[in-house]
Amino acid sequence: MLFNSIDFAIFLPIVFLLYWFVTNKNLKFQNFLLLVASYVFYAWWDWRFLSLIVFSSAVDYLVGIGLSKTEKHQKRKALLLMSIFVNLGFLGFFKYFNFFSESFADAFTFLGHPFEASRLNIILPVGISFYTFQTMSYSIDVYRNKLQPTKDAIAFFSFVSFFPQLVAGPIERATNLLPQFFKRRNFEYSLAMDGLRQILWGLFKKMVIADNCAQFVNLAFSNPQDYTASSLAIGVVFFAFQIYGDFSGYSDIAIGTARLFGFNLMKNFSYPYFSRDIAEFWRRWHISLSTWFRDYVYIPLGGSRGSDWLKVRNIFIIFIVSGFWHGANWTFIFWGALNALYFLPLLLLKRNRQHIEVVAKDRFLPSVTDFFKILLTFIITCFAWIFFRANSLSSAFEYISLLFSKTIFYAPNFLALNKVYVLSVLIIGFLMLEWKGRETNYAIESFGESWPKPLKYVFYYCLAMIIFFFGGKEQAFIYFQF
Amino acid sequence: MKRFLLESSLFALVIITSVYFVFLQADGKSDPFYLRTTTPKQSSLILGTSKAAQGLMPEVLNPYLKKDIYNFSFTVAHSPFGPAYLSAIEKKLERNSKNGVFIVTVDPWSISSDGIDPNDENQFGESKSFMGTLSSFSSKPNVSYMLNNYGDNYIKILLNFSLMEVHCDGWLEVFPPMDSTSVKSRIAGNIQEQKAKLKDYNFSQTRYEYLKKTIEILKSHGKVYLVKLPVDTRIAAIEARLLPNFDEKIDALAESVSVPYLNLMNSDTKFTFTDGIHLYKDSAKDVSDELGKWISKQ
Repeated sequence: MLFNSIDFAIFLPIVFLLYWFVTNKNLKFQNFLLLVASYVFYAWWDWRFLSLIVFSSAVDYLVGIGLSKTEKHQKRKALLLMSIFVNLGFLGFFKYFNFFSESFADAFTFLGHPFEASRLNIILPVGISFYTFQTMSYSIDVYRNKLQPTKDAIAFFSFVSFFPQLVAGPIERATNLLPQFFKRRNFEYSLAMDGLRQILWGLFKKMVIADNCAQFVNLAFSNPQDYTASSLAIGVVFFAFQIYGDFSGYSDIAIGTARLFGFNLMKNFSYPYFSRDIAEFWRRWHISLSTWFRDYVYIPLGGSRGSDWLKVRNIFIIFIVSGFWHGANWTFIFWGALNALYFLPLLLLKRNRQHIEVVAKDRFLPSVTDFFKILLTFIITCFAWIFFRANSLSSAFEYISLLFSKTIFYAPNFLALNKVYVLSVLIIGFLMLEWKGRETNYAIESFGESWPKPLKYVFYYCLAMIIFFFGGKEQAFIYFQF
Repeated sequence: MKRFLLESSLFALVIITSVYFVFLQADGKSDPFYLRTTTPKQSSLILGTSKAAQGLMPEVLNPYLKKDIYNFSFTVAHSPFGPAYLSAIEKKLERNSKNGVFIVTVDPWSISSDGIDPNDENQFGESKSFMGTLSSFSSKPNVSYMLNNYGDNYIKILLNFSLMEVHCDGWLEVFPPMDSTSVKSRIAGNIQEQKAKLKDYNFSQTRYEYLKKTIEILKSHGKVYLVKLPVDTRIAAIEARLLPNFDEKIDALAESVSVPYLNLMNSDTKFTFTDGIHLYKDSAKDVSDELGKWISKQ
């Protein structure tokens, strides 16, 4: 079920009313309702893959129980490995089998021993990369004694499949989300209103910014040779906004929806395009995944301790693995490696933490230096997005070669050029709101805080009508494919 | 909680009312198909693809037929003969009408299909479009169409700016630049496109059977006339490559279901096309006039 669909608009109020009016007396009933609702939500896409979630949840639930019953290091390690093996096994089979098979075949062919790659006709289960990482974090944290394992199967299964963040995150940590299933949730007007506000903002990002940008991005990346370099540049910039609007919009809707049920999910995006360097960008982009890799891969590898060589190795590992997490394609690996290259000078010069505070804190405008730093970071990020979006490395390089041609000085040649202008105005308006709200959790969290209530509602009404009038064609979220 | 429910419900109600109001404003300029899904059920219909949608004017035909006929033609992607179009026609048709007139336009594309097996109706693309999914073709506003099938941003409904307009009688009027360079360029584009399509398309016996079935059902509601509309000779040559014995097939069909057939490719009139396939409005008027005269003689 898509958040931006009529189905969800019907589903959500039904679950909300049942949750607060029918099952509100009993925490277990509430959790059970969430579990059923989450499974219905997932089954709406394809009920057959529910078995994967159930199996993955069951394995980690039993691993948790097993870990609680033994202190023996070897046995605990074996249990942890079982969790990792099952979860990564699912991921490897459904997501990476064909990639590895083809890559091996290509490599052998290159070495003069050609053979046919065996391909499986596999459907990638939606959200598999998200929920497997979430369940693994539970087993790892229990193994590290950071978390007490739970015996409450309903709560645990609900935690794994919690529908607001099931298919595209934020990838929650068991330490944050699981305990919330054990606490009684009380309805709070202000939290619920805040949730609705964040949902509205998320829908704006997804339907107005991302879905409209998608039209031009698809044109530019499908047939780059048909367009002038200026059009291709617009295509890349629009992709930067498409992926941000799409993914952060999803996260906003997820966080807002969870808040309606009394849950707090972690922040996933924090105005990444206002970053002054790539290190800051990565602290603000897909925070739940970056911190997951930091805590479970980077730090165990040694992090930024040790020799320069180790630091370089660790940075490359973390970025390449992160890129590979996004998809079974060399483009994602290249995208990850490119970001590692961007990051390395900052790390080696120990300048990777120079921008911790939000830009232009307590000021209306950034300084000229900050402005140019933001612009430069945005440009290099856009350049990397070309690899992320292209279907293959050769397509990415073709796109780049066409981009750096003299037609960059020609007028863009998209057929619906007036739509490009309208969309640009919408993006500028969007950026202004984001800039104004950059010190809050999401752009309109405190927008018009001091306004009288009717005026606030006029603003929300205008926003809703902009979504209605300018909303692009209903499209699946990009991160569903990861 | 009460306060939350009250405020959120009121807000949702205001939004839904606004959306409904905007949908009510949608007209023939908002979308090339929408208006045809909102008008009342009809007893006389013009059926076919975009050639008929643009080429046959009910306004010109009505005096000859002495009744109001409605143009319920769409495009070759939406309304080739098949289960989806037949079901849509049945939904649009006044159930108890007996004295209707039905002009069924045919061409090789409307009885052909792409895909591995052109006879496998599960592969017919139009079934997934509004033609196969819409439950009503006579509701105003047609909320289901608007929510699931409207192909543009809804702001277009209010902007009232378009290069085409569907009239109240279903006729689709288009406003393309008609200077010779533009027309030549569009014809060249269509020739190239249709030649490319030849590789994927084949005659579909299933669609042919559906054409027959459609005629038989329509016969129980009135008189049926089979018509082939004219196209540019270069386009006609491509169509002949797709289905060389098209005329024989349609002649045989017309005979087997006992309906008259007019092939306007044989007309002496010189017609103007906007792109080689679709008649320009002046020629649409001439064709409709010629067809009206022919029907009144039957």
